[in-house]
Amino acid sequence: MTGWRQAGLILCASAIPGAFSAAFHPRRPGWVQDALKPGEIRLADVEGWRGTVRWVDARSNGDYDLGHAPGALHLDLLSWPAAFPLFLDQWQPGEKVVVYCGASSCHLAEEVAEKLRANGIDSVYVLQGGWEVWKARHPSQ
Amino acid sequence: MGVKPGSVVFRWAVRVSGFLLALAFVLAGGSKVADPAAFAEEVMRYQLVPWAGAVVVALWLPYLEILGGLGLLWRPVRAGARLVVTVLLLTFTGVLISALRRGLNLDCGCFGRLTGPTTVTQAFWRDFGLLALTAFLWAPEFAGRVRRITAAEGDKEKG
Amino acid sequence: MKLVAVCLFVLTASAFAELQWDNPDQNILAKVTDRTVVAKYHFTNAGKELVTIEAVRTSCGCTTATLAKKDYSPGESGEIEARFEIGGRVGHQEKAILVTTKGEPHNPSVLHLVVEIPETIKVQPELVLWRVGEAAEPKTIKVTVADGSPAKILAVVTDTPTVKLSVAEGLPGKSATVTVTPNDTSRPEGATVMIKTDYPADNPEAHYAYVRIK
Repeated sequence: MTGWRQAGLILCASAIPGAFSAAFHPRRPGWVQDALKPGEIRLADVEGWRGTVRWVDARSNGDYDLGHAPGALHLDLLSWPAAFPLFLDQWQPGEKVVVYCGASSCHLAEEVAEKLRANGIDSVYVLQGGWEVWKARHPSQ
Repeated sequence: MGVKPGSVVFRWAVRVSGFLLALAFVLAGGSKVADPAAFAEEVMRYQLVPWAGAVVVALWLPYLEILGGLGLLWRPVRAGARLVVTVLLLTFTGVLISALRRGLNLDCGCFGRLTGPTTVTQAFWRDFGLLALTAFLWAPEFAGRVRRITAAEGDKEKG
Repeated sequence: MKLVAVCLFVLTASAFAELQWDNPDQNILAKVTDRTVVAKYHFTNAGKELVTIEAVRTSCGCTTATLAKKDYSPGESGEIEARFEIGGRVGHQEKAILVTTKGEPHNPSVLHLVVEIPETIKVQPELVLWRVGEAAEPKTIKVTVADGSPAKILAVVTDTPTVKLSVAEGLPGKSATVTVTPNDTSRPEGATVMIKTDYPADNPEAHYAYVRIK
């Protein structure tokens, strides 16, 4: 019986710093998650998907060369004529496609995703938070 | 088994496993304290709780792990800490099994950034190992109870 | 009366802190041959104190903004040059430029740049897809030259004989419907459809559509 009481005590005691974190921690999470824009997807959801995910990097060529998600194909509107056929060679119907860009090139992923959809490629998503979110999750790469 | 409850080896096994569990829990909790926002995202990856639930877990669990771990080292609350640690480990194992069954392809997030990427399967075996250690924490009491029962039965036979 | 005084105070206060822009919202119609569009935003420090521009940010990686210097004395004028890379974009493009001053870091001036980019030749869709084993039904690609563009469609050809093309011209040289029929959909195959044009005259552009059997 004392075991249960002590466990309750530990539970309550740990809630105190927890509550302080909720109020003051500089990295405290918000109670409401950032809403997804149409066509957007969270990295957490992508990681839960089964099957191949086709990554598309819509940032500039220079940013892509500095680092990108493994297997990601560089495809932006400028490189479209050369890169779109490469994309088509890799892509398989039914595969999910996730496009990302960086914080400084925020609209680029939407542009590419829209163009892919216009060409009848379904299951195209834009990664919420883009490259920065991906990078934060994979700091070593 | 050559190791009998009450023997020196057994008592040391209990002490060492208590210490190892405490270390594991303090490290696991400590690694998550710095960034609750990132940990909430990790919790969301398991797709078991809504965001608000993940936030509560992200704010509370790290301290619960730390206090649970430290409690194992402090006699006045050792019994409670043993309960907290065991229930937490059983919950973690359950969550990992559910992730495995749903084929979730994720990094467990158990020790924050302290360890490298850990797959769900690796995390499951690690939890399993830690659960095995908790058996030592319960063993003295269990052995004590067995002793009491056998003693009582012995008394009955005598009577 | 009190209200008027408050309004006056607010107006003068904002005039002190803010830069006055001649033309903060600009609409530009790009030419077919343009690769970049440049917009210049002229401003004057209408206040009585030195204004320091801390940052100029743009809403898209396709736009860069440059500033000759950062500090502007009262009455002094300056210019921000925004450069928009067309880079394959077509149609209506809206971009924003945020200018932050030292005095008001949370209240940036927002400049707008709207660029209309004519699409000389539109190929829709750029991909016709059959699944392996699917019936080899014909699919169509529409090729259209934008109104007012001097470009003409000269020919539509494919690089392999594995697909049959038939071209139905709408307005001569200005629009065409290309019907693509694969010979065989029993195995993966790919082909490129090239749309030859006469524009620009010195280096005529080709446009492409892709055929895939997957």
